[in-house]
Amino acid sequence: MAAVSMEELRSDAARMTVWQRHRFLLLIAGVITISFVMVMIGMYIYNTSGAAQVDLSRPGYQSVQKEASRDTTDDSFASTGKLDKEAFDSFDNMYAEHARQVVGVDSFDPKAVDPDALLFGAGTN
Amino acid sequence: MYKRLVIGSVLLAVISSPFVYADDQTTNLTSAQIALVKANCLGVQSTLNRIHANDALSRVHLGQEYETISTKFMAPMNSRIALAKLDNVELTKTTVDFNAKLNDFRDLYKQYEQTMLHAIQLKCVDQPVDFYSSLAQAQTERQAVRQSIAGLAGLVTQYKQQVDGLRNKAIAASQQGDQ
Repeated sequence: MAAVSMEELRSDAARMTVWQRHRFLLLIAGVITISFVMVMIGMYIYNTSGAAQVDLSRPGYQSVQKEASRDTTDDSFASTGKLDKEAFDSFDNMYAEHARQVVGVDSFDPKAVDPDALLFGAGTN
Repeated sequence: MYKRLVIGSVLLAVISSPFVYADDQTTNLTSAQIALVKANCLGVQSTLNRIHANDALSRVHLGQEYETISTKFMAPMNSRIALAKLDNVELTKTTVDFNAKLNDFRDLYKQYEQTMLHAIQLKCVDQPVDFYSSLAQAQTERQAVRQSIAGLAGLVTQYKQQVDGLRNKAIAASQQGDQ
């Protein structure tokens, strides 16, 4: 293998364009730019998909994190099988339990964020 | 080149950041009311923070239950009714309505949450009228979320009634199949 002299290396370097001389710097800048773009796309999808609204690990939700329960119930009605009395009874029991959680719930009362009540203590004058 | 990179990055950040709009409604507040808003708004923002956190918890709980009802009960029951060769048009229609309403619920909550977040993050002492408008808009959107929840509850009840209506027919068909 022929040895390359310092003189040859210097002349090779002199022949290089600016882009070739800063290849490493460009690589780093490119990687950072691509990462930045990917993070921005990810954040955009996170915010617009509705995932952000159900993410209780966000800052500001520490107070309610413990109250959030994972849906660990393995209640489910089989999609095949005979539709006899037992099947209907089983369906009724499980369905009623879940329906109870959503029927008649008194959530999202608009009065809670009534600007007049919150800011002026009562109705506007 | 670096200048272009910086300008490009800033443009990207601006384009991809979420936008929250306050309703462009004209809010007529007297100067006395504006002074009241400025005096009370920081306390109100702290209350809104608590409401916001509790709403998120309700949203998660309700969302889980709706998903369970749709995927683990309605869909399998429709399948079994169809396999038993019974008329399941009404049940399927209710399921489709339920899923559409569930999507509406997600969208309405997202809208409401973003308005609430805007109101919480607003420099309310400097922008009292904007703060009042955001709060009024949040109230309207909260009402829409509530109505959506009521609609979903109605469909859950309706589905159960329709299943009850088919019960005797399905059991009779099953007994005939046994003989």
